[in-house]
Amino acid sequence: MGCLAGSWLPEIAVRMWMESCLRREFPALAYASLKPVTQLIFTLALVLAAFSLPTAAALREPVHPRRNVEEFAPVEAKFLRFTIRATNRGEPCLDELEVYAAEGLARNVALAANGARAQASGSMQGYGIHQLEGINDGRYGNGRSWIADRIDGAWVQIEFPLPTRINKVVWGRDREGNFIDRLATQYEIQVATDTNIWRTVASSADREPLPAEAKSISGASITRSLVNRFAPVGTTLSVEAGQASSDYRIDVWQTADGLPGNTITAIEQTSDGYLWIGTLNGLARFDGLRFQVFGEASELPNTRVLCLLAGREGTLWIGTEGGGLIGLRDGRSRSLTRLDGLRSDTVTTLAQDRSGQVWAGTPAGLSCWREDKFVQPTALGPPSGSSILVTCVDGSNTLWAVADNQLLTRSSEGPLAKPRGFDPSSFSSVLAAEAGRSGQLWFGGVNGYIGAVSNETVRVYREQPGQLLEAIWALRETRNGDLWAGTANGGLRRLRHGHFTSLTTQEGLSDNSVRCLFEDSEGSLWVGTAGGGLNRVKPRKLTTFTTRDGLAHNVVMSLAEDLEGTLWIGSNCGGLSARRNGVLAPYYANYLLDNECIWSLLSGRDGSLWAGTWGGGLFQMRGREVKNFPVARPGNDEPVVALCEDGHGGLWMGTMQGGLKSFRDGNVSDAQPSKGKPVHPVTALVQEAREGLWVGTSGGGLQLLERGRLTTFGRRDGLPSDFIRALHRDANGVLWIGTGGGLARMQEGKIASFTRSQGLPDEVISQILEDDRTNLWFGCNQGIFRVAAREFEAIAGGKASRVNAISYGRAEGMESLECTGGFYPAGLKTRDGNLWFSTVKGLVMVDPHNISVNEKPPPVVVEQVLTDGMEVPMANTAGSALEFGPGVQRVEFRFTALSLVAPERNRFKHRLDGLEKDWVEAETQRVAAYPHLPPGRYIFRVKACNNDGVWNEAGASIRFSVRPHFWQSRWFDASALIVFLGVGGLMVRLTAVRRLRRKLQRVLEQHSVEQERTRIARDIHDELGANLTRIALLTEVGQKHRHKPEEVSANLSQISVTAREAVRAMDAIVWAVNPRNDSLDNFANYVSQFAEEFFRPTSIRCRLDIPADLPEHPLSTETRHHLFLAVKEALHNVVQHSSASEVWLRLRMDEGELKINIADNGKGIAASFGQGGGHDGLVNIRRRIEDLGGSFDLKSDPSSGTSLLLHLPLPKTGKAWGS
Amino acid sequence: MGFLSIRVAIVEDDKQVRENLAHLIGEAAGFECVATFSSGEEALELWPRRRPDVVVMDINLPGISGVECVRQLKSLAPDIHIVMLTVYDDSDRIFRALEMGASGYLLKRSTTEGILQAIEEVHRGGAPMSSYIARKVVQSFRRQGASDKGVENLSKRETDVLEYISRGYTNKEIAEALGLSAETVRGYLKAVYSKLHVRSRTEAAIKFRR
Repeated sequence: MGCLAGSWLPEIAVRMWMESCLRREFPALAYASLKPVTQLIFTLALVLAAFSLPTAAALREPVHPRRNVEEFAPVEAKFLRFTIRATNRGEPCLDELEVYAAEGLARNVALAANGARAQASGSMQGYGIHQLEGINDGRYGNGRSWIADRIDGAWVQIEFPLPTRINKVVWGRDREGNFIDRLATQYEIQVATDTNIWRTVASSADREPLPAEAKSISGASITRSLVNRFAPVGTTLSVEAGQASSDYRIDVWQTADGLPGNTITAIEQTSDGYLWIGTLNGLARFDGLRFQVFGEASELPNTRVLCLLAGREGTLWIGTEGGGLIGLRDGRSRSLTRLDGLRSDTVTTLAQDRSGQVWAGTPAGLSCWREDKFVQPTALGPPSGSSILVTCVDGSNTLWAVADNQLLTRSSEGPLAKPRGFDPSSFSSVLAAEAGRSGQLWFGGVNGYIGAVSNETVRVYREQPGQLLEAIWALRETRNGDLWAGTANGGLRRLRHGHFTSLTTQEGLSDNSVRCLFEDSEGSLWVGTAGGGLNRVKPRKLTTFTTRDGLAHNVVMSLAEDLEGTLWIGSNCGGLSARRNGVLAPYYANYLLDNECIWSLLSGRDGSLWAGTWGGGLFQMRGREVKNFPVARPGNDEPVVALCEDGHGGLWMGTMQGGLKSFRDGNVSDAQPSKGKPVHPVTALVQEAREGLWVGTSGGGLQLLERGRLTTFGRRDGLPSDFIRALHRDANGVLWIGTGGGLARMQEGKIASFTRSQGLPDEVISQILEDDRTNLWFGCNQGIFRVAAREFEAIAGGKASRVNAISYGRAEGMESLECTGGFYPAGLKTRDGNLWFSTVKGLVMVDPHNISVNEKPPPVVVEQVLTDGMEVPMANTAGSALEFGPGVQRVEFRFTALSLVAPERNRFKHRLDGLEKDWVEAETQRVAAYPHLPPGRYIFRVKACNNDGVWNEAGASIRFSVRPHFWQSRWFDASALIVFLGVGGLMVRLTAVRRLRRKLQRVLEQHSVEQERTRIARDIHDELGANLTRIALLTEVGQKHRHKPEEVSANLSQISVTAREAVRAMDAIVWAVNPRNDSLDNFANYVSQFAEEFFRPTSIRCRLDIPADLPEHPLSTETRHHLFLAVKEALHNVVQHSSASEVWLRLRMDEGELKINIADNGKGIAASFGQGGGHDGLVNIRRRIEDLGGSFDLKSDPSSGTSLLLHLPLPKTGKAWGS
Repeated sequence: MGFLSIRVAIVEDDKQVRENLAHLIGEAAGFECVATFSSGEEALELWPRRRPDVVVMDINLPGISGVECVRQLKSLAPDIHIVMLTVYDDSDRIFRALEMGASGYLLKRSTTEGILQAIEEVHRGGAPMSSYIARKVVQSFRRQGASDKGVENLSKRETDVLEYISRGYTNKEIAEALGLSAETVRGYLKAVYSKLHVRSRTEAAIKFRR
């Protein structure tokens, strides 16, 4: 490109221009028909022509409302100005103006967060969302954009904090692609080092004009399809690689989450695993989920914490402002002040050397705590009165200190002195120092550098252009060798291999003012900010790509990798994206593909890319050549949701309403094998080795099409559900089947199914992939999880009962937990071994080779024991057993596991020796309660695993005993025998035994109640959660359609129906769990109301026969719930199957038996119920009633209808639970 | 907003629910939302200025409860109609509100039409009653009616009507079954409500005397 030096014309433009020449003037066919030599000459001629032509001849693509890139030769600039001369309509709008530094990591230097300032000729009045700060706030979308107050001559200007060499500007009108008006069509970009001399670096002069239909637009016609009538820009897009944002996940805790204060001064971890957070409002202990605050109310006299040190001997040292030094150990504190010899009552920094001496830096010099007293300060130098900001001890046990903003050191027993080998006075204003693991001593301060002392020499890392290093307040070297610097106002900087990367509020940090840094034992970096609370920064295990990273649309539906290694991404009506050589960009193939709802993709063996769309038929793309084939009828075409090659140059297509179709030589034919039967949507297709095809359907189970013969597998064959969402055939020919109700494996014709009961975190399996180490990966509605294939083998072989599933979700970097399902292929393994999952919010990548596993078993702690709601003091009972008095009603244990990476994924198991034989799977619950424990000795044991399923098998345990009442003791037994030696004594004993037995029984019953609660919790999640998700999605769709009133209104009414459904579901759950409703009367009320409401919209009249006065009968929550579900199911059957015009619901108490009769005057049901199929309902009713100890009678007659009678014996006593 | 519009007031502590309800009612033809109150206290203090025909009242209010507010409002303005709003069926509280003089109840999840219909019905003097409320009424009269002096009991016909309602029959069907006009059936139901109300007041009076 030498001859173009000095010109801004980028190489890419030449290439595009050449492509367009080839495409337009010389049709591909003509070009291809030339002989190779001629081709070469021809190409050379074109290249030469390109080089010799004046630059104006090679026009760039027209401006695009979404994103435009201006590249130019690097130029030094302090100011950059974007001046607009004309727009397609209205005053110009700019959604984010990004300016990239030419050197170092490509980094947007226009960001306000990086210190850049924006100025403009004027902003449109009256719109809060269109103010100037929208231009460089790092946030995309019309809602955060700038609109000028005029058209011609409007300008916006960015002033960089330092003169910076830049080479690229990226701008757009609406990065989210919803608006296309107010687009700058004539503009100029200029730079200057001072505001007098401007130099133009880019303009619209070399761009093609806008296409005609995009030029004159009215407000009403701003639609997505029009956005994409604009010329393609996809090929020139590039996303700046290496952005720190995609590498780290940041979580934030603030006072609202329980932190005592938002200014964090110190973070430390004690050997028991707890994290301690020092704030200006007190000290808090943190287990990853809950803060336990030690403040004024507790033993700590002063709440302004300045520094923390976890001492080797187990003491937590707390340096305070004005309150001296506090040592905290085993729940006891000791306070040391000037009276004890401390130099000042304000302690700014703490360090401990190998001999165990604690060094306390104060504004009045250094103190040393040795063998339970402070050492005479004279020996320590420097002159007392020096303000010590930092102390640290390096690997060779040398003490370093920052005194009066100078770096000093102390070898052996001497005083603090200037370090040897370099002159520390050239590094004044030092604010932070850190002794690195590698032996380096890091320091930094206000002058924009980081120094590293090693072997008496200093290496200095200076800020790079665009990498403003501000005052450094904190430094921390992590185990992997990265150095992190916390700055006063610019967030975090990571120094790795001599290069800086920044992590600021733009990437999710809560505040750019970083006060302290800490790396915990599992490698998470904790960041304390001044005013923004606590942040946890951890590397993402998963990489999520969203529109921020260059994806065209966030709802990803389908994936394919072509022969050249390009990953194609189809979205839900947001077009196609492509990832090529690590660069992800929207593929604006609108003039190629005129449908944007890409629901299925397939890379053909011949190099074609096939796209099945919603309503637009099937597309075949080969390079720039695109063919479109209707699948059903043009205009309103059948959605294609699954694609698969048939091995003979044709395709199989799964469609929504038309079932399976075959495509060959441009013709579509019906391949639905089962004529006459209901057609189910075909959601997944997998080729079987010999000529076979597996067809997954939604509702019709799994089908195998083999030489024209069709075999169907459904629930009766052992599939967990007939709704198939994903298929995967592994290397051994085993077929894995993901359904809406669990996973199934088909091996040699045998089906094994796996559900939550086998340890799956979710049962909606939408995507199945396999890595190179025989792990299976699943995309579900709860994120992604991984299970080793052999674990399923173990279950199928009866050797295990549960799999150990490792879950990945938001904590690991997903933006939404919901993986797309019902489209094929929605998940993909690329040839490099990476796994790709489509989700409703972005594309998720897993590199299974590099995924780190947290091998550290978490410490387990029983934090609290409560008896009858009162806390039992445990501080001084280490080792000895607790003893509870007679008659204690309820013993409760609260425990935690100290793995802080993703505490919400820590799981627990517990067992009460003396009562239980087996471990109870408590999942993520951190409390266990035992009501009515009979007297005896017990050991409560709890173990936990970390986020990667690594268990601490030793766990924690607490011994305790429950003392008997005097009549329960052996002593009493004996004396009773002695004293009564007869009938009286025997009777007492018998009563006691019976009582004990009853008590034990009750404990077991209570336990089943707790299981019931777990189930109810799941109901809440499933029923409410599903509806709320639906509402959220509907709202998003509504926003998309906001310019189409009819669709919005249809949307709104759907939202309102769904919301009411959610409230109804909630009502039912609330009723089910509220113990106030535990009576027969209440049950009757509820059932009658339910029935009324249920039949109101139907044509069936509901008659009730419920006595006004029902006897007082307690009905346990469980009984009530099951009974209700049984009645509900019966009423459902009436509506669904009976064709009745009247139904009677009768309820009676008769001889201690509750009788419920549901009768209708419909057509009756066939006698074949109970065999599965359509009468699942009846089976369920029978099972529920039998589980409750009742029975079930069914009479059915085509002439008189169906009558179902439920009998349930109820205990005669008035109080079932009292004692 | 002609002079025939039904004047509705809303007592509801949730601002969003209150404002949305006010908006929906205000928009509907034949209805006018004349006041919104965020608490029972506010309603009791300010209602006379607005003179609502129908008050839609949340049963779960901060401060004085919805039930208590009904009692006091009814004693200040016996002609006012009150419809209770509940989140889920809280049968005891609903029944107590009815005893205190409320004329009906609504679930918050009801559709706009459902809400407007209920307001219109109580305004016309109707006494909407569901099968389970009917059962409760019969129950309560049967249990206590006989024992307390000075408390009027239900008539035979009123009891009959209630029994039918509790079995899921509509007013029209009851009219047919008993050979009455639908209007008469409604009259019986109104009588039942007022007896219920009178009874609860009498009971309260008896309690005070003790």
